[in-house]
Amino acid sequence: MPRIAPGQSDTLHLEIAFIFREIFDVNAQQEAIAAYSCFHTVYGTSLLTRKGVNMTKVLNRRLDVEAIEFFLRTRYPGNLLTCKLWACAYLYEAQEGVAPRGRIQVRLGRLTSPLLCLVILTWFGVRSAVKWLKGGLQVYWHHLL
Amino acid sequence: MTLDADVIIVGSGPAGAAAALELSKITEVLMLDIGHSAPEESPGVDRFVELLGERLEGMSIISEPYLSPKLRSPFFRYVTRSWRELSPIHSSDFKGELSLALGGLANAWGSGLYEFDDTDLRGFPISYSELQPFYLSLTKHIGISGGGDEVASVLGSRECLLPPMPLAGTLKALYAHSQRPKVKAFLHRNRIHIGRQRLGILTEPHRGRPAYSFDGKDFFRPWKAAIYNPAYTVRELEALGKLRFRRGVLVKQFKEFPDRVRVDAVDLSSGQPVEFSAKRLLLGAGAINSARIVLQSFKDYSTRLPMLENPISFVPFIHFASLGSDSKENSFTGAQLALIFDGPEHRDRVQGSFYNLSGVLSSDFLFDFPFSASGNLFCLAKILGAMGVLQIYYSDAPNPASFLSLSTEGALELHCPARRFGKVEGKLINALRKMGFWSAPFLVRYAEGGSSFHYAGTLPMREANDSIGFSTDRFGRLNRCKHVYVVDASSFPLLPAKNLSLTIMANAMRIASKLVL
Repeated sequence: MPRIAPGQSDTLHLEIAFIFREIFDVNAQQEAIAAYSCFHTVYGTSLLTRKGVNMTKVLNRRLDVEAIEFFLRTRYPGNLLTCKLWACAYLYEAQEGVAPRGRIQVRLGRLTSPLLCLVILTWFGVRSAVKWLKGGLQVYWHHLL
Repeated sequence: MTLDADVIIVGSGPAGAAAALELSKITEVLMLDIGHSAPEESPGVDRFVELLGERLEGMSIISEPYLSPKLRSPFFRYVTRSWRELSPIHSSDFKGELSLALGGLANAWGSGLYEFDDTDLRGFPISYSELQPFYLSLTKHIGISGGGDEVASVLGSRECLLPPMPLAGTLKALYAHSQRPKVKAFLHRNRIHIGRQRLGILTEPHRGRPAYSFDGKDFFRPWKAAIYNPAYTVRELEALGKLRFRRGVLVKQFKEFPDRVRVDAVDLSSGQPVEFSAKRLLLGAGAINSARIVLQSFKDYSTRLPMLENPISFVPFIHFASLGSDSKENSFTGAQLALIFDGPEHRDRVQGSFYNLSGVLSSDFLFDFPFSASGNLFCLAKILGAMGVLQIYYSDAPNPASFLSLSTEGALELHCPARRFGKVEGKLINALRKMGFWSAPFLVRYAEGGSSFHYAGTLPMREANDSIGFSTDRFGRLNRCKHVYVVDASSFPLLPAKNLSLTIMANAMRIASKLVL
C-alpha cells in the first residue's frame, strides 16, 4: 500500500483509533491503521474538495464524533468526517470479517424479534434527534468548520 | 495469400464464444481479443486485499462515482480494465462500463439466462423457432438452473433445466406469499407473475464443473466455476484444439477483398500493427465496440448509429416480519426471483429481478439509513436482512436521443440519456404491500444512462438488406460487405425487457450455423 508522511500518519493513527473506540467499541488493528493512511493517500485529492472539519479539536477535546458527523451529514452531505467514518466502517468490516457493529448493537446481538427491532428503531430515531442537536451545538460552540 | 484461419471472430464474450462453439463443428477458428483475465487464485489471500484491494478499490464509492459492487471488487477489476484508454467514449450521460476481458462483461453478470419468445422478437426478422434449437443446445452446454412455475413459459423452454437455486431470506418469504391463492389471484388480476429465476449457475455438477456452494464470496472471488462465464467455453475449445485464441490484440478495422477479409489490429505488448486474414470475419465485440470497428473500417465520421439499452429502476422493499433476521443467511448473490408484468401501464412487457442484499459489504449501505451512526449500524445488522431490491428492466427501441457516432480522433461520441417511468413502479409497490412487503415511491431509484450494461441495436438486423446506413441481413451479414458478419447484440433491432445474454449466444450460433465457407 502507498506510504504517507510520518507526521500525518500519526494524526491519522489517532483519528482511526478514536473513531473505532467511539463508534465500534473495538481497537483498530495495525492493518486497519495502515489502510486508513492508504485511504487518505489514494483518495486524498477528492477528500480535499469535501467540507472539512477540524479533526484535531474533535480528538483533543474528545467531542461526540457520532453527533458531529450526523449533524454535518444532514447539512453537508459527503463531508470529510462522513467520508472518514465510512472508511472506518469498511476497515472494521475487513478487520473483523463481519458487518460493522456499533457500541450499542454489541449488546443487542442476539435480538431477533421484529417487534423489538421496531421499538429499538423508534428509540434510535429519538436518539438521533438528540445527537443532531448535540452535534450542531458542538460544531458551532467549538468552531469546528 | 495465406489465410490465418477460415473464420476470425473478434471478441470473446457471449457472442464470440457461442459462435466459436458452433463453428468448431466445421472448422478451426481464430479469436482475437484483448482478453484480460482474473488474477490467479491464491489460497492465503489477505482479507483486506480480498475485500478492499491493495489500493482500497472496494471503498471507491466513498469519494468516486458509483460503480456496481462486483465491478468495484478488487479481484474483479480486470473486467473493466483499460477500456477507457483503449476504447475511448466521449459522453456526458453514458455511465456504463465496457469490458476487454476474456468473457467480456459476462465475468460480472447476474447470470440471468432467458429465452426471447415471439412476443419479445416482434420487430426482429427472425422467429423463436429459428433460435429454439440453439437455446436448447446452450442449455445443455452451459447448465442452466430454473423452475417450472408460472414465469417459466415466459422465460423459455423447460427442457434440460437443472433444478432451481434454493431461495433464502426475505425472498423465500416473498415467493411463499406470492404463491398463496388469494395473493396469486390479485397478482394475476394486475398482470403480475412471480417465479423462479433461470440462471447460469449450476445446482448439480455439470460437464466437469462443480455445483454451486455458498461461501458469501461471489462478489469477491472470480474463480467460481459453478457460475457460467463464456471464458469457460473459449478455454474448452482452445484445449480441444478447435480454437486459437490470440490475446492482447486490439482490433481497429477490417478491409474486404474479393476472396477474403483482412483485420487490422494492434499488438498491445509491442505496440506494433498486426494483420490477420480469413475467409469470413465475425464481429462479436459487443454492440458499442463492434459499431466502432465498422465505423472505423469505413472511415465514417458522420453516421449516427442507434443505441439501445434497457432503462432500469430499483425498488427497495422491507419485510417487517423478517426484521432481526441474519442478513448473511446462505443465499447466492444473483437474482433469486423473476417478475413479469404485462399490464397497460407500459407499452411493452416489463421484467423484474429480485435480489437480497447479502454478499456485498454491509458498509456499502451504511449511509442509506436516516439515523446517526449507531442507529445505522443497528440497521445494517438487523434491518438489512429483511430488505430486498426489485430491479425493473424496460424494453427499448430506437429513438433520436440515443445514438453513437465516431469522431475524427477515433473516440465514440455516445448519447444515452437516463429515462424514468414510474407508473409500473407504483403498481408493483402496491403488489408488494399486498404481499406484506413495504415500499414507497420515494424510495425508487432510476439508473443513469448505460448502467444496465445491456447494449444493443447499433447495427440492426433487417428483413431486406439495404445500402443506406449500417445494418445486417437476417443472417448477420453486414450491408456493403460480403465477408463480414455481426454476431453480437448490435444486430438486435429492438431490445425487449429481458436479460439478453442467452439470446445473444443463440443468435450468434444461428448465424454461425448458416455461414458458408
